[in-house]
Amino acid sequence: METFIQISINALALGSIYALLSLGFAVIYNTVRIFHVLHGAAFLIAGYATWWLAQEQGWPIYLAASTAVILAGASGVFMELAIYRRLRVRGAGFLVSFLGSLAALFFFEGLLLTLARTATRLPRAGGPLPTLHLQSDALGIDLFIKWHSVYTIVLVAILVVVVTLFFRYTKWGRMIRAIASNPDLAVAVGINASSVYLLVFVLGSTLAGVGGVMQTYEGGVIPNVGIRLAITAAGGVIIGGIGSMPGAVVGGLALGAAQTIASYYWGGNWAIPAGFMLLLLVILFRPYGLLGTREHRELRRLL
Amino acid sequence: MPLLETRDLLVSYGPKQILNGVSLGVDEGKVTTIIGHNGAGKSTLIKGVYGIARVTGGAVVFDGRDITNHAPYDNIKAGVGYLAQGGQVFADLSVEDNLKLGGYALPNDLVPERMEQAYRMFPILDRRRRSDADTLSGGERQMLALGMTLMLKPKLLLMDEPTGALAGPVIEQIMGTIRSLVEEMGVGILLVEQNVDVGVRLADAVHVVEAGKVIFSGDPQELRDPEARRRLLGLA
Repeated sequence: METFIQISINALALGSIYALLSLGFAVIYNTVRIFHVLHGAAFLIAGYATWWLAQEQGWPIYLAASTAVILAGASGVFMELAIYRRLRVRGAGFLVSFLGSLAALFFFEGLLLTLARTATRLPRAGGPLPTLHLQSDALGIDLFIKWHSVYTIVLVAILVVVVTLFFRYTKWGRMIRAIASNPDLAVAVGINASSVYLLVFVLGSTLAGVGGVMQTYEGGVIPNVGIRLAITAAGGVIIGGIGSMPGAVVGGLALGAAQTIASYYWGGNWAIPAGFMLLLLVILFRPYGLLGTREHRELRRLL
Repeated sequence: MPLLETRDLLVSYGPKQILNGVSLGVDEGKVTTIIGHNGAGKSTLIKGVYGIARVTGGAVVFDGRDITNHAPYDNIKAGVGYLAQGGQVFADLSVEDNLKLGGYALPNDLVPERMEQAYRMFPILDRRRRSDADTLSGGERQMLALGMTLMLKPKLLLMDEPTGALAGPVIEQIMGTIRSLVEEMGVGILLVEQNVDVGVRLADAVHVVEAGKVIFSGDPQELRDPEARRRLLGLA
């Protein structure tokens, strides 16, 4: 029981971060239909900005973290305007856009290696994080839960609700859903696709930024984690079902669970292979994802 | 002066010339029907007028103003409505959200009132407000698509095959709606129809387009008889 609760909370904490990354990836993919691996850069920007502002500039951690999230969101504007919009204007196809995205991510990771080097950068003093000790002889539990895990889970839950409400009840949310559902008709009713794309990049990158801040605060950040997290984000989307926003959250959580369980029983080195094994199994045996429907199968053909 | 006028309209997709100089007019409260074979450029003509296909030569004049290559948003504001081919709706969104999006270019305070009008015009939609559009039948989808367009109370309506792929009773209902728009509200309609019979029955004026050019213009009376159509145009 104790082990189960401990693993569940760890899985939920890691899964929440992946869920956020996947949700950000899904918001962009469903609308703009590009395989946006540069998404990993928004995570890196947030992580490095938090470290640099808090540790090198001595900013209070909350200010550093909020600024980092804003910078990550703003990086979405840059990605859309400097890269994707240009590709779109030139009529670039899916593969060329993907390669452009990949090239930009590797360029950025290289730049970080030069500027910040390979060391793990931690935005706090180091040492173990404060924990919550839950003990009950009656229930037979004696648990140590990181407060940071609790904050992460609560924050992500709130963000998922806010994003869901935004999509459902605001005019901008409706515009994004309209473009995702039928881009030609969206343009015909007068929606300006370019400004919706811009919004979607800001939203998706902000979500990745929050993930970046929360993850980095606990375990630090290194440059070459960008590509793996981008593929993890995409993996969560595929596991949950392409085209489905709740699916992206479920997929991210599933990846977090797979990694946590594997590393608990077989050791930390198994975390990443286990996550990708789950992705492979879903692709092989349930290709339209856990929550995917008929339309999502059709969407998947675009990939 | 006609409500809409196209003057020597040219449209090309890449190197392929689709319209080779189309000149025609649409009057207020009248239906102008374009008929022609598949690939003759009928849809492209409508898309060029609406600003979805890029016009490379000639002019589109609406209500005395040059609107050549104006964006759909500006055209909607000016009073041009567009009904795309094939009952285009936002399939993953509810009927209500679809109507709201149809009124996207409207000031917010007008939207609820126009939505109620759309529900009165198509009561079936009223009963399905909360359903996703992909649960509607083909006919209901077309009514939703039409309702979305009518949210804007256009002065000119560009309709791309409004009865395409629909069954008899629904076709009659859509034709009835088109007639009432024209007769009661004075809307001018540019109608593209594959179904020549429907197109001709509704028309006040008919143009036949072939290979991006108007090859026949005239009174629909001349085309009512299928025999005459075959003789004149090779169209059934």
